[in-house]
Amino acid sequence: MQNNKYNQLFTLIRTTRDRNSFLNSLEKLSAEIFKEGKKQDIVADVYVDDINEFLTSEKLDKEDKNAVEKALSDIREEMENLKSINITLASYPNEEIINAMSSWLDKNMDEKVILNIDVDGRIGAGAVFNNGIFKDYSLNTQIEEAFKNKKSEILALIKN
Amino acid sequence: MIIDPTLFAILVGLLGASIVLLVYFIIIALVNSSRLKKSEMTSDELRNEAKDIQNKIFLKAQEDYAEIISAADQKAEEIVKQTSKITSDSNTAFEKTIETLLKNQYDELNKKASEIEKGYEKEMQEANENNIKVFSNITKEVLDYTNSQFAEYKKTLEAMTIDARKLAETKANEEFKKMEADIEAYKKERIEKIDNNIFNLLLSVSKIAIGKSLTVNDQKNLILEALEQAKKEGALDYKNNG
Repeated sequence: MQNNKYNQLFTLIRTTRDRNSFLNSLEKLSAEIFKEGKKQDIVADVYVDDINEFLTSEKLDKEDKNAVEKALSDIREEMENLKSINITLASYPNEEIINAMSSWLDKNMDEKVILNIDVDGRIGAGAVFNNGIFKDYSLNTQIEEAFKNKKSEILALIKN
Repeated sequence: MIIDPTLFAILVGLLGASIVLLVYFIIIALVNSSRLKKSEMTSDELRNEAKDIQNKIFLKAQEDYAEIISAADQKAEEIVKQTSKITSDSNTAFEKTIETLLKNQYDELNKKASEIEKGYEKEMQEANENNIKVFSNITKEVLDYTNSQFAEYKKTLEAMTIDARKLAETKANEEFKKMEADIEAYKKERIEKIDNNIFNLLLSVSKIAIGKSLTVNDQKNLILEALEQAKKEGALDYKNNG
């Protein structure tokens, strides 16, 4: 992944679900940060601290309403423009697996890419991709192909 | 031709009267002629003489006429008698002749009838004998023909029975082979179906078993391997997804 000033925030966003939560937090922050004409202390939210840290790292004057609003808007735009890949898994992955996938993408893709995860229990395990090209790398498909190739041998074994 | 005797007598009488009248007129003519010759005589004398002569002639004519009539009557009577006799004889002869003829004809007819009857009986007998012979021959022929036909029919029937049996055997064999083939095909189909069911069952069990046997780490590795593979095969073209 190329260097980007938003990388600090991008690391938080692994999936489209993460992005939606992030955008909700950003929305909340944007709505409340200059409520009643002056900066408010926002109740801690999932991504609020992270966003504040980002703003701090960008050396923004947090009292400068316009600058902050522009920074938040830029973050929103960056987040909305993030690329995603469609992936189908047997069940919704746990954090370990999501992190592993995200790390793999950060490492192997040229730019920040997030996962749009769909669930279909019929695939058993592995993954299916549908991004213009359909590719099925699911465990069940692999088992079926292996069985198909070895059908006569399997049946012979059963009969004996 | 038979002439009625009465008619015949009348005709004869009329003929006699005609002859008498003819004689009378001839005498009248002669008297007139002598009258011319004695013209020189006195009229009284002549007149008397003529009267006498006339009377005499008249009397003579009357006598002759009566005589002739009588003779004619007698002749006529004779003729009538003869005629009657002839007629009677003729009738008798004729009747006899007719009787004879009828008898002859009757006898002849009887004879002919008898001959015809005998001939007919003979012919009938011959015809009957012939008929019996013909009938016997026909019966024999019919019997022979029937026997030969029956033998032929029996032969044909036997041949047909054999053919039918062969055909039935062939058909039965064909049906049996077809049935065997059908059974074999059905058996094969059923075995294939059973094999497929077993195979699918085994596949399902294997999927479940393998799926359940996977650890989180295995699942993670499978997903990462899928990502690697997808990248290699160009299946991560996120640019299409916006």
